[in-house]
Amino acid sequence: MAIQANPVPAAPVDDRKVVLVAEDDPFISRMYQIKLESAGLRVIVKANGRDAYEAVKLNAPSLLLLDINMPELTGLELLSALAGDNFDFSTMPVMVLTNSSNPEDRKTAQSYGADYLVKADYTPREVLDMIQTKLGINPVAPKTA
Amino acid sequence: MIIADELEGGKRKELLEHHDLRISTMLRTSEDFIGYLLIGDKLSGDVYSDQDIKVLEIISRQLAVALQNAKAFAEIKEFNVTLQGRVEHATNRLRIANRHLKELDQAKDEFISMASHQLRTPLTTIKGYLSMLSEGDAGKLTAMQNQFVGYGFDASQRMVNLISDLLNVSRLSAGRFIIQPTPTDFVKMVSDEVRQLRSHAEAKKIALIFNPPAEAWPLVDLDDNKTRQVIMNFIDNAIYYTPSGEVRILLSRTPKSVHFEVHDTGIGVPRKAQGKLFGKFFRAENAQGVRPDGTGLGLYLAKRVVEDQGGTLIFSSTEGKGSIFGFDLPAKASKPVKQGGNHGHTSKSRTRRTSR
Repeated sequence: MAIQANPVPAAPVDDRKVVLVAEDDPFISRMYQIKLESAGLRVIVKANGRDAYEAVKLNAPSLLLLDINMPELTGLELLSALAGDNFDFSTMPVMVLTNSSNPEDRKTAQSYGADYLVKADYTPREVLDMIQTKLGINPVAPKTA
Repeated sequence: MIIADELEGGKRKELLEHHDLRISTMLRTSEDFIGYLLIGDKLSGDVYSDQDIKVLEIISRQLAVALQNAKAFAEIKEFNVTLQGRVEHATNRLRIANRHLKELDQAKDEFISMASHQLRTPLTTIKGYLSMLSEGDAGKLTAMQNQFVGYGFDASQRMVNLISDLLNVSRLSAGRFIIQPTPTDFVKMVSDEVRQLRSHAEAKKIALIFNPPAEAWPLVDLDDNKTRQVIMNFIDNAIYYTPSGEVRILLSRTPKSVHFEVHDTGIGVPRKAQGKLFGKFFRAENAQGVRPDGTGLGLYLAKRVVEDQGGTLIFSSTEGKGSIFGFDLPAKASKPVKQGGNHGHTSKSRTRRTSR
């Protein structure tokens, strides 16, 4: 085999912002993934709390969409674990997305500086809008009325 | 008074003498017959003198009253004891019934919580995919396809609202809607909600203005969860119903109260709807077009929460110009309590608030 004369061009740098979606319902996670990727975001999906926790530490996402009820570690336990690691939450806005509106959970989420949103109240488009606002990205498509 | 010796022969005399009785007198009060006072021979053997008879007459009247009183007293005492017993028994049964009710109420709450969670999950999927279909994420739709998808989406949104209503209404039932004050950092509570809603305001390109007071406020006794909900509701409403302009939040306090106002430059409330605005399930006509999924419970709940804590609602509005919603809550400074732990946060995460 001949030695390559020309160096292989470097892979294009992926400078898309990364959103980590921690959600165990595959239909819901796919829904967010499709919408967010269509707006030019890179999406990593993790279906259990432990994997999500590892992914936060490994990938340093720009934003975390966090379900509460997940196997292994709940969303709030994940936040607690990160806090225990002295994680700097100012580097990663957290949106807790859940379908149980529990005032105690809401307070806990807010104490970590996270938003607390009921999934059923928002379309994926609305979630995308909120994410883009938080990440300071201009929306790709005009907002539907 | 009957004196045996004075009787002529007869049944009565025989009866008395048979029992060795010399004197018999009826004991009666002005209303009741009490009994008989029956007296035998004097121990000394002497006969009864006129003086004795007179004394006995006097005594017998007083004896009648005394006996009546004693009897009444005994009855009251016994009644008291039985009453006491009955009250304790009834209280016990009430206690058991109450505990049972509380358990039922809690079971009901848990059931409704779980049911609403379970119901919301598939609804999220239905609503989400239908919305994406109509937004073209699966390709361009024909007009008719779009229409059908729209119908499905609207219905799913209605279900989402119904579930929220169910949750809210179930919480309104007496058992659950109890005001539970705890020492609260009021300014932080408002700041949390403002921060939470900032993205909503930015998405609509309206200014959300809030300048927290410079000096620290003392902790005050308020129901944290419920008051927080009212604050969120007022600010969220202001954002929803303001097509352009600004939403401004104002805080002030006196030693005895905290004062919260949200000013918006929104669509306002028509004069004829203003009186009923805080009623259960009421929605003003101009609200329906702007926010079709409103439940009409938010303001009712706000009124309950504010008034149950002894406060007053603040409201004024001009249709087409804007509105002011707010409250005045009596807020006693809490007894100094050692601040709890901060969930293991580092100081870095706590400064996050200002950097955002």
